[in-house]
Amino acid sequence: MNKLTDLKDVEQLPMRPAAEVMNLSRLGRFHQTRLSFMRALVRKMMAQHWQIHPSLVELDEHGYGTMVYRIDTPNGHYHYVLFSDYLADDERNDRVIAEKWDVTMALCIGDVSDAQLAEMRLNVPKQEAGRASSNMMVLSRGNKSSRNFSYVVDALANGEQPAKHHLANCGYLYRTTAVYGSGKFGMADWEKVRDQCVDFAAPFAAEMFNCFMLRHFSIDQAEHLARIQSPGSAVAMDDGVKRFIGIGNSTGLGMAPYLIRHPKLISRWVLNRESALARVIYQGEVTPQHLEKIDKLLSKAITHISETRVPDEHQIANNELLLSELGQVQSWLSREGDEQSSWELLVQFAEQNYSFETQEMLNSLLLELYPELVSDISYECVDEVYRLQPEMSLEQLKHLIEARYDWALEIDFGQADANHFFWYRSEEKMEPRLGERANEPGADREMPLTIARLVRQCYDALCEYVDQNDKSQMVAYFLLNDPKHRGIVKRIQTMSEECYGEIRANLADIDMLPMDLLRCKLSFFGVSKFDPKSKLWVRNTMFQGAPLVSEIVDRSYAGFKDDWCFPISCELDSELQETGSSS
Amino acid sequence: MKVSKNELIYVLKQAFEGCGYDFGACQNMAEQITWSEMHGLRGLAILERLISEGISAPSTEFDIHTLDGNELRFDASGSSLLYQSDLGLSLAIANCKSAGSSKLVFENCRDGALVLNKLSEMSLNGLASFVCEKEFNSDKKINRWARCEQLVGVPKICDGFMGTDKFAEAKRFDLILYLCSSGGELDKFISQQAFELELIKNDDEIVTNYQTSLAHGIAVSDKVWRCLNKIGSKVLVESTEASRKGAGA
Repeated sequence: MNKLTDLKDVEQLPMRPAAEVMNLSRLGRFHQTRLSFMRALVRKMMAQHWQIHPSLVELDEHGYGTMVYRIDTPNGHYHYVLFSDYLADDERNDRVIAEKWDVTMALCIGDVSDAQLAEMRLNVPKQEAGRASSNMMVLSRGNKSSRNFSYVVDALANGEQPAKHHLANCGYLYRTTAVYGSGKFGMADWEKVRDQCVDFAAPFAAEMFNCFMLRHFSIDQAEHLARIQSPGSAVAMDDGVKRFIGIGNSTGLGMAPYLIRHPKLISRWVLNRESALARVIYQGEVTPQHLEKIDKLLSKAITHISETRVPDEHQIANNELLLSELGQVQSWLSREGDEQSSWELLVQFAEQNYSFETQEMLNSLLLELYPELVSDISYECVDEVYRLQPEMSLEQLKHLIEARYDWALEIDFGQADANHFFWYRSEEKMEPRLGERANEPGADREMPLTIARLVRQCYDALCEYVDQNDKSQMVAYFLLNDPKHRGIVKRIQTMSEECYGEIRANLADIDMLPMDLLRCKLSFFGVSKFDPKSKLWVRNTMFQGAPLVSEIVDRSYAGFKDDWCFPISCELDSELQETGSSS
Repeated sequence: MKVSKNELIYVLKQAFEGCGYDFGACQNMAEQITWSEMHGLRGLAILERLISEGISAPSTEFDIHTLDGNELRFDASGSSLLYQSDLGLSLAIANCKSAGSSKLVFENCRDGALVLNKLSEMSLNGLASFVCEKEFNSDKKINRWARCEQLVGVPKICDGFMGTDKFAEAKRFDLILYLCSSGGELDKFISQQAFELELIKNDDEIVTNYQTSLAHGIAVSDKVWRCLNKIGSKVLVESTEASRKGAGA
């Protein structure tokens, strides 16, 4: 941990170097933190008491129809429009290739006229096949968790609260299967959202809010159906139960190219996380209160992971190792904690003795200890613009590549295994896919995501050119001679000004795990309960434990503690005991 | 139909990729068209004409005609500045950064409006710039020019560049670009030239055009949109049972 980054003007505290942090295996073990986008959004909604109320409720006895919510913030107003439709069980499919869903929805800037609502009725359910308008920020869809949804409705209709083991196993009623923003299908560009909608001028804020609203709708709809089913005996869901219901999410390869195409943005996300961690490790005073708090957090995390039931053997092994090692961390703290003046030794011990999974979980928990040390860290808006420096000398560029892309130059692309996979766009919905070069067609249309190989090719061409020309010649001449390297040169030069950003992995390698890319991005979103369904897609849970809309809109509500991470079912027990309900 | 900026850039990049351009070129070309269109400089009309002519393959490159000190001359051989002009511009920027000023001439080229987005980039990189067009093999009065001060970002563009159908025409020009690291140098260069500049009637217009496009979307004809998607479909890979296994959630 005592390694100083070689980049200046960022933080004076020692941060972990890019070589350590940007290792894909480590990125794939990141967990949510208090800096995650969902946590930041909830803090903002609670602090500003956003007003969220239904403005149109047209749900029939089956829960199908249209629901519109109006959202008022101190800065403006928005509408969340949701269409609920019949979907046969055999048509329910979480994968991107699906064409029908239980619900489809959109988040709009300002008002939605009757004419626009009619237009949306025609287009939103079509998703990728429809068109959106320029006042829409997000287009999304979701499917019911059929078994859980029916169970919850039946329980409420019978006058009972859902049993905790059901919710612990599957803590949501709906799963989102795609959330589109940033100008897709004619929607508002990110530039417009950033400049004109201050409430959502943070990375993925509108997309996260969309998911939060689906969670709210799912509860509204379940209660609506229970009332219809048993008008005389149905009960409303207890707030504690509601809070324990999150929103499911299915994420696949579509998310992976984003990380590669937005290295400046990723650099800022990681920089925020690392600088927060450095502040906590080196500035956080270790007091008995903090030791007690970290012990409770560790216990909570252990219980949370224990309650995460997944069928995937690799993930089961991950979780078991994590549980074992977190227990050891607790033991270490009970033995050594009183002797510590900072968290440095604990972090060093974890680095030397535990898996990436445990190290990163510990880092996430440490960030919970000192809100005051990290409260000023927020996600700046970054323009993903690359600047060519054509005046740079060839020698400088060569040194730059050797210094910043040494990890890429170490890869032997002469080996077949280093070129095993290729990324491509399928004609089916133009979605990104991963193919095996030797066995599948399309390698001639490979997407330029294998940055390490592009760097290698550029470096080889540069060395050859330098051999034949003056090394003080400007890069512009090299590019004029060999234009195909202009894209990667621009990226290399731009990224040399960033701390982090480039994921240090060969994305074509036979051992590359796409799941690591997905988990990295999802950790910044703030999801939990990773449930891999293959190496290529993962289910997870969002907003479980988060405050309810009724608490957000209540200006007198003072119960928010911003500690809703790693929700566990015993909290549900205590909630139910407090309200006098039974399971 | 109306499309967003991101959507237009994405579809353009894919179309140029479908024509065989490298990803760096695709990004440049997509930005050139989008910037011109959003600022009211008819980028899509130019593109439509280029599509009707058949978008050139990547082999279209400019020859350096003359390289004399800080003055560069490229022979575009009648082709559009959409293709590869960024390389010449990069060289001019590099020369200016090392010597304080540079001059670049694209002889016998078309679509000068497509380099105006670069003035904006240069401005943000601390360079002042002036660009003008004169008809190829003619000494007629200069009627198209633009100027961008350092760190301003948005160029002043004369009416000759704005909103006329002339840009979609196939006329050939010589495009002259002067770059320098100080505004005073730029004035000196312009005053030394033997041409008169037409006045700018409304230099806020391009900013307004951009903001309107961003707020309400960019109008694209269905025909052009279909055509771009068709060209771009060359980079898509057919779906097979094996590839479906590689589909994510």
